[in-house]
Amino acid sequence: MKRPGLPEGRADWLARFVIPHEAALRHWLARRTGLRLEVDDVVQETYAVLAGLEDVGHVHNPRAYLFATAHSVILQHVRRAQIVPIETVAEFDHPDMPHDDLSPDRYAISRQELRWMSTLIAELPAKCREAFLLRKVEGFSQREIARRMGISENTVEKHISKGLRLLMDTVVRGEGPRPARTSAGKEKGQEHDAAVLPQKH
Amino acid sequence: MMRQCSRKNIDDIAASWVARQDRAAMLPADDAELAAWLALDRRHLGAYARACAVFGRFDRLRALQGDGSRPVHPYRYGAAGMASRRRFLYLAAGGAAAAAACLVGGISLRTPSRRLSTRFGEVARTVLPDGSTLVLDSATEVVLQISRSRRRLALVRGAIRLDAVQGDRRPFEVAASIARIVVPVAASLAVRERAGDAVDVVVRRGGAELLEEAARLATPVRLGANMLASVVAGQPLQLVALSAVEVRRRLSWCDGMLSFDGDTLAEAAAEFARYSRFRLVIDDRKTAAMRVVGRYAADDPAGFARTVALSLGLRVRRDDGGVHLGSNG
Repeated sequence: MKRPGLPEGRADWLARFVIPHEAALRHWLARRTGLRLEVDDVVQETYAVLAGLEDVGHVHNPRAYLFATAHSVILQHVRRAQIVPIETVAEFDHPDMPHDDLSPDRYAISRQELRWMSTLIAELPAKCREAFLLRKVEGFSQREIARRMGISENTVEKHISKGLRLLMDTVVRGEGPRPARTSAGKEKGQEHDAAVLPQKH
Repeated sequence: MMRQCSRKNIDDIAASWVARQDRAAMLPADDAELAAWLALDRRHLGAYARACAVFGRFDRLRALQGDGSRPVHPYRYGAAGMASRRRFLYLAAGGAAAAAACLVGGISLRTPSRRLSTRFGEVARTVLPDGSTLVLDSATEVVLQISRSRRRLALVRGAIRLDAVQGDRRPFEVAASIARIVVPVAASLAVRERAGDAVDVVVRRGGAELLEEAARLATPVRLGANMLASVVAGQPLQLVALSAVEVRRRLSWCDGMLSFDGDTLAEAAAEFARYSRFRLVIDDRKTAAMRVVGRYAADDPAGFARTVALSLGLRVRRDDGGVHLGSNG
């Protein structure tokens, strides 16, 4: 799908190669205390940089690239802020960026991935979840979903929007076996407490 | 950073745009409204890109459902929360993938005297027998003599960063072409041999004593943390106090990064030329004078060019000679 503001295929690239590492990135950022930067702000700006890249063909290791981009976002902010606590700079002197040499094949269809996604969707409010599943699993259009659920198209759009909004918060918990702590989980507006989730299945 | 709109609001708006796009093809007026919103604040683009990505991520569900599972009637999901959840989890039973770890080892030196060098574009880090850490910059050569009685490093060409540990009665000596540095305490410093008989010494931590080889200095000059000493043949010694940030920037080559803080593109291109054969060519003088800020991988001048072109509104052109950056006009 063509997205205004994003180069062709970029949304898909982000979905496949960046979203799976966002939890690890947030975890890494959150451990760097002393920064007067919100993890969410750094992540948002990192996405803006990745969205604006002319081409991502040169990116062989999206995970390392993601971390390096976030790192440079922080450094630019640190410079802009002028007053730099020395500890802050020291923290970033030798970034122990976690590296990952796994190939993109890792993101091939896996049952683990399905389990992760289904857990996130299962947490959505009932109507949101239903609309989301009809859209994403069954592939119905929003119009068709409206007909099946007996609600207006506008309401379907709202359910989809709300569902996506909630998933934008919960998706950062990550797919891996290690639960990632994020600042997002502590903020209000988060409708589900991470603590009630099963950590293992 | 602009703060007129909270992050949560931005995410709300981004999600609603993605839902609207998903509903049907957007009208030109909607497209224009979205474009205007994206142009308003850089964070909007980030949030929107992320919303698109999260939404797209769940497209995988359809493919995954086809993975050996029967198609599921949609209304099953709509019933009670727990039941639908259990049903969904049941479909998702499966194993976990193993992750491989990547270990990067360093070399350690055992012999008391040794010549070390790096090739062009290479940055090497090594741990010395006394526990000090040495980083060699691109195209650098040193001769090391480490024994029980002395610790000496001769810088033949290039640049080093030395994180010296305190020696029991043995200071660490660094000898460059026209300067000698004695490090009696634990210290972190960088020494660069520059063209035309010049040596730069930057002390990051601890202290050192500087002696000019030509013995024009009667007594050693003490260098404290965050000081730069420029020794140029035939000229008076220059001492400059640097900010901690500036020191860090000057040492950023150690972790394979180049960092710029208001340097011109011409200067940046020259820096990259020290690490990569891949040429970064600045096409016109106006562009060459533009200033850049940021930290970039030293071995990726093409990535630097792309990023800079994006932020400064420049044109990027590739040919056999390398990457060209020029103004759009």
